[in-house]
Amino acid sequence: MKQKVQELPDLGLGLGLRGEHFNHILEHRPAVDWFEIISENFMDSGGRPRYVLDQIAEKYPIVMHGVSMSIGSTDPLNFEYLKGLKKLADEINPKWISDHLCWTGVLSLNSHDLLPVVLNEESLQLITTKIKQVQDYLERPLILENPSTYLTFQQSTIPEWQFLKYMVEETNCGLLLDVNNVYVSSFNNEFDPIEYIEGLPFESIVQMHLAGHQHNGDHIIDTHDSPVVDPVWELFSLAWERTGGTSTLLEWDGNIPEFDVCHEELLKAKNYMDGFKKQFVRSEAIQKDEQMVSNPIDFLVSNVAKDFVE
Amino acid sequence: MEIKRDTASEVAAKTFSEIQHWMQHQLMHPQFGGDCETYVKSTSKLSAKQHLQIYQRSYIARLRDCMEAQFPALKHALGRPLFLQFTDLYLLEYPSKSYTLGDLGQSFGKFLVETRPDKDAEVKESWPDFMIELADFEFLVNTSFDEKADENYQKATSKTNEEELELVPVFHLLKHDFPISSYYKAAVNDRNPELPFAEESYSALLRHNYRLGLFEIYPIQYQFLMKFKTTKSISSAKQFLIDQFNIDKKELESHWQQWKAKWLEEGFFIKK
Repeated sequence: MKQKVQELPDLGLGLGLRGEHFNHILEHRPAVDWFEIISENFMDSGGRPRYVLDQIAEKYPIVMHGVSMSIGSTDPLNFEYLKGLKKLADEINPKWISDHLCWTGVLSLNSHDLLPVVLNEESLQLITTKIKQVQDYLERPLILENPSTYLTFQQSTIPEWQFLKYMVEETNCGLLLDVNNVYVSSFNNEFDPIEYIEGLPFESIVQMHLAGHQHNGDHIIDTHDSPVVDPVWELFSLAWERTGGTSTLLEWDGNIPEFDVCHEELLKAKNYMDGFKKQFVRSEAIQKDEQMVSNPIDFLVSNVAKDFVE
Repeated sequence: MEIKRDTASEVAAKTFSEIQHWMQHQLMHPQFGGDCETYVKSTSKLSAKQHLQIYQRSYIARLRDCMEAQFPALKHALGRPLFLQFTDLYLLEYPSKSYTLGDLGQSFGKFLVETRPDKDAEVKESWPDFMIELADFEFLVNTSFDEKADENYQKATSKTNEEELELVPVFHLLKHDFPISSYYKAAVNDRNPELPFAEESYSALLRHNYRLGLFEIYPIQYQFLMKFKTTKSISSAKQFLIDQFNIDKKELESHWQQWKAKWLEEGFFIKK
């Protein structure tokens, strides 16, 4: 693996590329620094999504972000999947490839959820072995994101931030720090989000994610369907200061508004780049809705019927 | 009855693999319950079971959402409650093995065949046949939308020589026992169609400029296009109709000119 995580560029402020915004981007070429794609949306695409991506990739830096690598599964790696991932990367030349510290299934099944990993020495050993295999296969560093989690296993013995640190030390992989996920997981699993961020290996953080969530009172669901809340901005401010600034991206996947609304929300990040000054207060509106889906990835299915010619 | 609890050492000894198999089983079969406390920590706000339930709810809700997006007309035909019942059973029988959600509904038509209520009856009802045809059709629509094909072609015009005509790369000719295309279009355009009676129907599903088009055609046009698709020759397709259906050559030519004009406009043809 020739490329080092520390050599990856700071791309500035980017947005998740969503089908709802294809036409706007092609017509207006908005002043966004870069786009992140969901890898699985394009790996097998031979239709409009891929056609649009090829045009966008000519004009903007692209990062590939996956949801199905299942690096934390006790199943062996799916090399058919990795082959498709590598082929897409060869074709669109992304700045890097990321996925999540999670598993999506065992016994060759896929729950299509980003499931939490038990954090202990056994899982650390297995996951670091798999990260090395992936990096060797892809011939580039793998960037892994902290997922939003809703439970902690009894068998977990290592705090997540420390697990990420060990993972980086062992494999030289990079980290995608999802600040919203830190907030969501810290509320759901009752840990200190500031201690979490302070414990990370900052020099290996390649990218940050921002997103909105749904607060249900006794738990928070990572819905990506609303603006970023103030406590998350404050955590972003801390992470920005500690990392010295790094590529930052806003995800908006449910109730997706007009492109300009997403862009405006992203640009708010500039207000939080001058240091972590505020007292961190966990305070926000509660909207109880038991039907919310965690880790929303159903936007991966194209709404074919809406674009039919009769 | 006293429930046996694992000791602290037994809890700690659960392997990585055991934990994942347990959790996956809990997601896919939440009705069986499970010894949550052995695996999941409770917090001051939620019990271990409540923590797990967040994942259990999301698992089925997410996949239901995807199935609703992939089968909007079938959902209309069955009604949402029944559609979701079928979906839940389908996901138990055919849990996803693919890295892409695009494949989620791949076996839904097959599942409906296997589970039709009159499967063993000598005389079968017709409505399951309609649902099965519709499911297969909707999955084809989904795959056609993103099918790999080279669309870097020259569109044919009225001036294109007939022997230079070719069908667009994504082109499916369909024959159904029910009016599937008209039902589908009415359902996805919120025209609230009623369940149709059996009636043979023919249609062409195609993609032009990365947009899908769905056009109903006559049986004779279906035969013509089928022959054209295999021979790639308009004159061969015409001769086929003349030979097989005893159609007058002049009459056919007159029809063909009308078909051609309409199909050129609808994006059926490219120039070889």
